[in-house]
Amino acid sequence: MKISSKIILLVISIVILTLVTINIVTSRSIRSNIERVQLEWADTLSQTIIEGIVQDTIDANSVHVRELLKKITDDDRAIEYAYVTNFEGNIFAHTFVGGFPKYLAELTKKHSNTLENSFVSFVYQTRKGKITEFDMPLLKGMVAHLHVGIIDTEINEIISHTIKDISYYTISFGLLGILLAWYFGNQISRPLTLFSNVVRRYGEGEGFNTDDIKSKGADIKQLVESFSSMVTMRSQFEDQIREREENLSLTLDSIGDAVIVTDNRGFVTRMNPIAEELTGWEINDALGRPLFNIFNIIDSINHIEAPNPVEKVIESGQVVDLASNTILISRQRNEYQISDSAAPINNQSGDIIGVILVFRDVTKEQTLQQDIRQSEKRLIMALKGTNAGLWDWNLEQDTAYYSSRWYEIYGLKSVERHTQNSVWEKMIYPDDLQKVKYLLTSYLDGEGDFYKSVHRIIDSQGKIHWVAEQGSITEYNESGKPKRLVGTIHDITDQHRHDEELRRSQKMDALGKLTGGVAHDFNNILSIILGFAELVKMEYGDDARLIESIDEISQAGLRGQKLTQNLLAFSRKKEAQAEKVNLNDLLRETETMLAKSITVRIDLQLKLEEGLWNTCIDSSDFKDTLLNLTLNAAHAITENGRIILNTSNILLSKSDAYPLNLPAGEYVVFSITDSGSGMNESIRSKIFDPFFTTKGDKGTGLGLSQVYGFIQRSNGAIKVYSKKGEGTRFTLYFPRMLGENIGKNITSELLNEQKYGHETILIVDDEPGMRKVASKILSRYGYQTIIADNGKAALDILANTKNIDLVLSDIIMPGINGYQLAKRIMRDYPDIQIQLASGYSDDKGKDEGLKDLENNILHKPYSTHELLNCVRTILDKQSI
Amino acid sequence: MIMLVLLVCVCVPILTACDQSSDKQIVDLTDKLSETEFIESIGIINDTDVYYFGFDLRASPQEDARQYLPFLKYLENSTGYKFRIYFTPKEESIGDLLGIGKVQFAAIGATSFLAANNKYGVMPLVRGLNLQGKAEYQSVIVVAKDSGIKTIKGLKGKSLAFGSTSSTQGHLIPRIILNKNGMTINDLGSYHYMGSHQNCANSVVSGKYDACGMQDTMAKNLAALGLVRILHVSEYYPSSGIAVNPKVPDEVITRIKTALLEFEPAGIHKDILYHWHQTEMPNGFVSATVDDYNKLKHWSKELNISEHQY
Repeated sequence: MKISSKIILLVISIVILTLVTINIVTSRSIRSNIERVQLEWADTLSQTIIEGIVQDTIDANSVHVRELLKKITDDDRAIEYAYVTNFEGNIFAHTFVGGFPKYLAELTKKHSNTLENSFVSFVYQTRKGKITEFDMPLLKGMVAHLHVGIIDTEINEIISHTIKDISYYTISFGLLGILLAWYFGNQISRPLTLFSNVVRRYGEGEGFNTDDIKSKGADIKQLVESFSSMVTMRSQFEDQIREREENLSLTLDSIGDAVIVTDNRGFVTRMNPIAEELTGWEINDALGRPLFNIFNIIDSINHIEAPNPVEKVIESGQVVDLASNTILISRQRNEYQISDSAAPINNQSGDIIGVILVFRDVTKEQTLQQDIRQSEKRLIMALKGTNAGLWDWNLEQDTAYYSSRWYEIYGLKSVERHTQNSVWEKMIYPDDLQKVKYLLTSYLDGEGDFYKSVHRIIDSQGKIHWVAEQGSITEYNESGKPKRLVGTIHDITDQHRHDEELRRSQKMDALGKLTGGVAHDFNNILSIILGFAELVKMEYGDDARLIESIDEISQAGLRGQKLTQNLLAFSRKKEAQAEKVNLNDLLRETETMLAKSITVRIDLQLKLEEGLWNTCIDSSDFKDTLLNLTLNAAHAITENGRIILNTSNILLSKSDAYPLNLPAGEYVVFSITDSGSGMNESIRSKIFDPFFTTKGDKGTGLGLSQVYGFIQRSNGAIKVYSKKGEGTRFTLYFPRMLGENIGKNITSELLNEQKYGHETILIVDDEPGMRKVASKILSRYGYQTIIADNGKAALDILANTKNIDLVLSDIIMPGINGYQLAKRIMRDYPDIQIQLASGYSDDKGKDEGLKDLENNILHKPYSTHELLNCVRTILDKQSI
Repeated sequence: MIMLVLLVCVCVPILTACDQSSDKQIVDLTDKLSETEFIESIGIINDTDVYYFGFDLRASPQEDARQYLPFLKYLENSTGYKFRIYFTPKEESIGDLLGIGKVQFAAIGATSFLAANNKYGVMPLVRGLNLQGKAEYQSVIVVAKDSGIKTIKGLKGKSLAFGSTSSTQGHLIPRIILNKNGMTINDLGSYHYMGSHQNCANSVVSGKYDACGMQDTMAKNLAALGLVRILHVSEYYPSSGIAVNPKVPDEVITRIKTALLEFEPAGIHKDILYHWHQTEMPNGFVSATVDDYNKLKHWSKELNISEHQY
């Protein structure tokens, strides 16, 4: 509605309200005023009348009183009637024509006693109008009253006329006011209308032009000016906002992460290109949509829908981070592992007006992290698997990180946090320190691809460990100098012991082979010497002087034989006669003998475990070993001391058995401990070497070698612990034997008195002397002999010669050895018996089919008797 | 526009409600009493327990009413009876009103009493005590302040106003004064009966008449105001009092008489009264008998002034 219309309506409303108000106010005012005036007038009139009628009333001159009353009522239209009640309360005189009204008579009678002192008015309604009767005492305190009834018709007429006049003027002026309102309203509304059109056009984007608004009104002018100012400011603000909006858009677009902005209901209001790319929704399609429409996320583990982050933000009003295992499924059904957070956008009042969601594709990162975790896991597993310790040394700061395993190796507590690398240096075995430093320095100076060192360390308990360290430079500083060295450490103490044992074993093998070879050759020589000595004795047994010389030769030969046996015992080449034995029994048996072997100042103690398991060893070798060790122990004790012999059962785990170069299993342990002078490391490492002795000329240097050989033949192990000044302990491990005696009885005592024979024997030996002596001996006793100097020759002979009954062959021969020859003979000539002879046994060539031959080898140097017995026994067995 | 319509709808009822026409019951004033009914409704004293006390007007009805109403109030409070004033109409006498029972009690002068006593058997109750505490009063002859009349004898040929013919102080005693000064009313130039002491005094003040015979207290008051000059003061004669209609029950009479005798207008009852000192009984009352009036009875006869021959 127009302002002018409103103003007109306003004026009309005012007029109506004014009329009503005037009507009400005027009528009431006039009425009350008139009534008040009436009252005053009535009072005055009454006083006037009373003055005139009191005496007449006293004098009971009712006529005069009536005349007076009549005169008054006739003169004044407002006075409807008047009457007087006398001093007795009776109606004395009145102005009514035709009689006195009953109503008033009753009223008078009713109020006669109450009117003595009062000025009373009664109001009642008649058909003519409302009558107000004023009752005034003629004399105060007396019942005589003047009653005057005043009708309001005149009042009403007055009021009516007044209201009419007022209404007339009000309406007239109201119309005038409406006219003026219309005119002035137009004066106001027209420019306002024009102004509102301008504003509307401005709102529609047409620009702000107030040229058409011509108003002299200061208000309109001010309004226009104010609005113009506002338009200008608004334009400036809009420009600022536009600029900020552009900056914001540029910023959002430039952010490397995806950004989605929603309103506080969760509907999308903004997205940057990264968000478009990841969600697969273009901004135009996404605007106005609920977030969950375009941001479809699931839990990567259970693939159920992930909670809407915007809802959580709106609910809590706090920043919300999505779980790290969240997958975004794009519109094109592509899956991206995302990392995101959502935060509320608050206005100045703190109310949430929107939510900003920032997220990014962390698929590669996740994968990378997984790979890293995998790598770390592998590293940890590798370190764990290899049982290696890790160290990470900052060369510049000389600080280091050590893994828990490193601390274990060094016997340190990881909580001690020994970050200074000097700790490491102090714990290196003093003898190895220089070597380690040299190796390290050389590597850091550029030699080699790695730093490697095998050295000893002394742990926090004082125990020596062999460790293998390896490391490499992982960082260089700006000057190109090494900055960071990272490496591992392995505790190779067991490995080292094992290797040492192996080396010893290999060394012993090598020495064994050497000594074995020497013993073998020497045995051949001895066989020839002893063999021919016997032959000579047989042929020239009558010549006593010759026999004496021959005996000397034989004795010398036998001593030589003994020596070779000892050598063979060391080299393990001696054939063992293993059997089931109980070491406790053997020790009890030999206790007396041992005690006699040592001085009385040495206390020999036996501490034998009850229920000791059996083991399979050569008991005589064990006794020899026992004697050797006991004598060595006694030799080490210079004054009073003791030697303790222990036995026990033990179950060796793989890790325990490994250093001993044994398989895991049950073992019988024998140890001998002395309180002697002990040995240093350099001596300890050589004690099993043949011919090594600390006894000077008094020792052969073969005792412990023999012990070592015995142990090896018994499939056991020996461990030595010695500390200078405290004593030595030898610990021997023998495998437990569970079954019956399965020991090899390689050399069986064949008792055969028959020495002669006539069979044909092929003698094969690469040693001419041996061929000769064997041939002569056999021939002497009736055998036919054929000789060959090697396996091939023997085979040739066999191929071309029939009726050969026995082949007597050396084992170690160039080309085809004895075992190979035997195999060929067994295959090609199964009827021909075979007897092998050897200076020492060799594993080469052994197989299951030759076990019998292996177990019945004729050992060189053999005596004539032994040769003949052996040959006869085999030939006799064949004939059976 | 809707608001405008609503405004109109609201205003119209308000306007119509402004009509002060009452919804009271319409009274029909045309319904009138018949003649008989009207006559029956008047002349009846509704209150049978109301005793009318008659007084002759002295000053004016308003002043007299004002003066006597507190006195009657005292009697009401003292006796329990209701009293109303009844002023003596012009053409009537207080003695007759008392005698016929129009009023039961009346303040009556000696002359009127004697007549009433004679005619109706009206009995005296009490007589008023003057300022000196005596039951006697005087009359005075007053002249204008600047009158040349100096003596009673100077009244010869002059006009003399009296009060009421039945008034003792206003007629009988002034006539006694004349008589004692060797004059009769015939010696006067003229004499007139004004009906009341006030009218009498007014006639002198206004110069209408040369002298006035009136009540002493009123005259002394007027003289104090300088309105009149007292020419002559009479002897003391028995004061007027209050008489009772013989038909009033004795117990009522007794109670009222007791109350009258206990009335102390100068004492404890002073504050409830109005101008009581200007009355003929300013100091209360004393018991009265008929014999108290013998002297005046004699002079009435002598001067042939009594209302009725008694």
